[in-house]
Amino acid sequence: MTDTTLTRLHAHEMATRLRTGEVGSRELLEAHLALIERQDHALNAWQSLDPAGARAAADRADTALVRARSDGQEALDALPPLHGIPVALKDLVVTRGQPSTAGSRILEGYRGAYDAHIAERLHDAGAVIPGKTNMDEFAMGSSTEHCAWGPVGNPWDLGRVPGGSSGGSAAAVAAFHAPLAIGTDTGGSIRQPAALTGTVGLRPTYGRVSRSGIIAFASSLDQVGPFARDVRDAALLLGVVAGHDPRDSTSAPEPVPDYASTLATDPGQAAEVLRGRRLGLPRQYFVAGMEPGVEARVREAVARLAAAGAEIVEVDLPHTEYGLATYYIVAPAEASANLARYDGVRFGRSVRTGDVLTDYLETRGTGFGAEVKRRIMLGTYALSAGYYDAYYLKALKVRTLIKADFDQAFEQVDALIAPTSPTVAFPLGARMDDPVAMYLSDACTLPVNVAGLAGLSVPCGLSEGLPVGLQLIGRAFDELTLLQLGRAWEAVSADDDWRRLEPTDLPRLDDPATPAPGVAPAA
Amino acid sequence: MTSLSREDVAHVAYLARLGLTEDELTRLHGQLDHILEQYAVLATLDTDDIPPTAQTIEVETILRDDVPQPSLSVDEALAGAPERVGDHLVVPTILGERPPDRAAVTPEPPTPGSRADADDHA
Repeated sequence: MTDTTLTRLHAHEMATRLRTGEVGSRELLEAHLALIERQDHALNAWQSLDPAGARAAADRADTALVRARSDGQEALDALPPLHGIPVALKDLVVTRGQPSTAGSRILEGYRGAYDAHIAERLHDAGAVIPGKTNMDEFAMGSSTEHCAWGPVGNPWDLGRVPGGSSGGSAAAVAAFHAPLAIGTDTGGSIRQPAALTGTVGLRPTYGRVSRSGIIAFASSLDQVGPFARDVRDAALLLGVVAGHDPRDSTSAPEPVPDYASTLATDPGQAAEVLRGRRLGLPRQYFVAGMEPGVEARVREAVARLAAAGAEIVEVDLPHTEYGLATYYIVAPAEASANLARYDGVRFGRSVRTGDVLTDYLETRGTGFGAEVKRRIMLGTYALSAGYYDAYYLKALKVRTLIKADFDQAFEQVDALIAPTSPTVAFPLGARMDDPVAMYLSDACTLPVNVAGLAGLSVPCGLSEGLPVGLQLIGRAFDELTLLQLGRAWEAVSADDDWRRLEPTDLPRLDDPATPAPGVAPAA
Repeated sequence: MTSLSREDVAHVAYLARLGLTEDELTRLHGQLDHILEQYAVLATLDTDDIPPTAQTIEVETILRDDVPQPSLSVDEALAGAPERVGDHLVVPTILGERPPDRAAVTPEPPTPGSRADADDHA
């Protein structure tokens, strides 16, 4: 088997072959590392690699596999589902002894003092972590261009963005650099890049996954979730990281279902769950500014789900238009408080001048990038004396109304169905000088964060040769319904031609002459 | 809602302890004004009787038993410190002049049993 074949496997297929002995964990890792080594100069999906640590983990996984095979089927079945499988981590996840930068100069050279809870879970599950992925600084952005070390390209068109802020994780999974990756989603940072790269991305319910050891952006909105190339793989990764953790007081003591085993392998059976399900189509999500190609793909998918047995009802979420302003007050306000800790005293970048005030100004002024400064300014202003009531308190009240819209909709329907992003991937640089245009990228995803709900983005075809995402929004802690519906959509569309296509620009990644994303080719 | 003056922007930057260049100040002034215009839409909603939502799930205060547990060692906790002397972080001088010879103010390392830390109760 060539390395290309190995990297094309889904994680659940890798799991099967690891158990039969057809492939080893080390062999899987080496295939992925070789691809990363050969291609990342042109993609920039990876922030840092840990080949030595990953090789040691893969060798341990292989040893356990050999032992389990000799002990018999029961021992093999007892191995956790991601045993021996590569999983990339967004560089917002702190890992012990490894660079943990949040994509920021202010954490350049910083190495984690401990493992985030989800990193511990992944280690315990036998997963192999090849490295950390690139991202918008402190997860603030929708394009993975606000990066201290250069933007990430989209494997479908290297001149376009992969979405953000988890663009490195999305691009890595789309380009077969890893079958699975962890991202974070504060306003759409998993779902929007999943849509723009043709991958599956799930933002779990607020409280579903522990944020202990995840570098904080906006603490009432942040969640951690999986990227994958199909819904079953996303379910496997969610199952490993979900659940209560005493170190995160907002992590919910809710039972975690065995997501993956409840998803049907057989397409006919998978589509069966659609029968009698009520799906709500929110009128307000088909907004002005939505590309016709995106709207067409989404409406076609809705029609096919209806033909397969789902009942489609139009619903109203009347406060949707206030979502953007609400989010862009609450998130920066929380960010301005969270980012106060970067003061150059205990860790991270430190400019020492002999005067403490100048130290703060210089450390933060030179350590943070333009978007992070913008958000800190917005948040500080919204929380400052005289403006707190007009901005922050007002936004929290509107948040109540937005959440109530969803509560009412879920009295009528099992899930909502909508576009993930109003547009396909846009060209690098196109929205960099217009923050408001960039913020509008998340108009369809951020209400979910404001209300603390779960959302899944699954690919639903192409528009102008670029991927379009279908978003499913569920009740709090009902990720299972979203995964079942996503799996049903995969079954319904299993024979579509677009499902056979690999990202268009993969051959260019193999060319050593292809420049880094955003860099003009040599004349 | 209000529009920001350049002085307002500089004041907010100071409150946030962000050192900005003149160019950054100019650019942010225009951009922040444009973003604040987007917020104006919220003022059109009557929210007098609506309670605020700061957190979307019920969060109880969870207390653990007050027993010592393993924690980071001093070396691990200080591994990222920009400046360190012994078991201490060196912080910028906040009051008065910085002493010329830092070694002169370095405290003696604690003698065993002198700290009321968790180990003493074990």
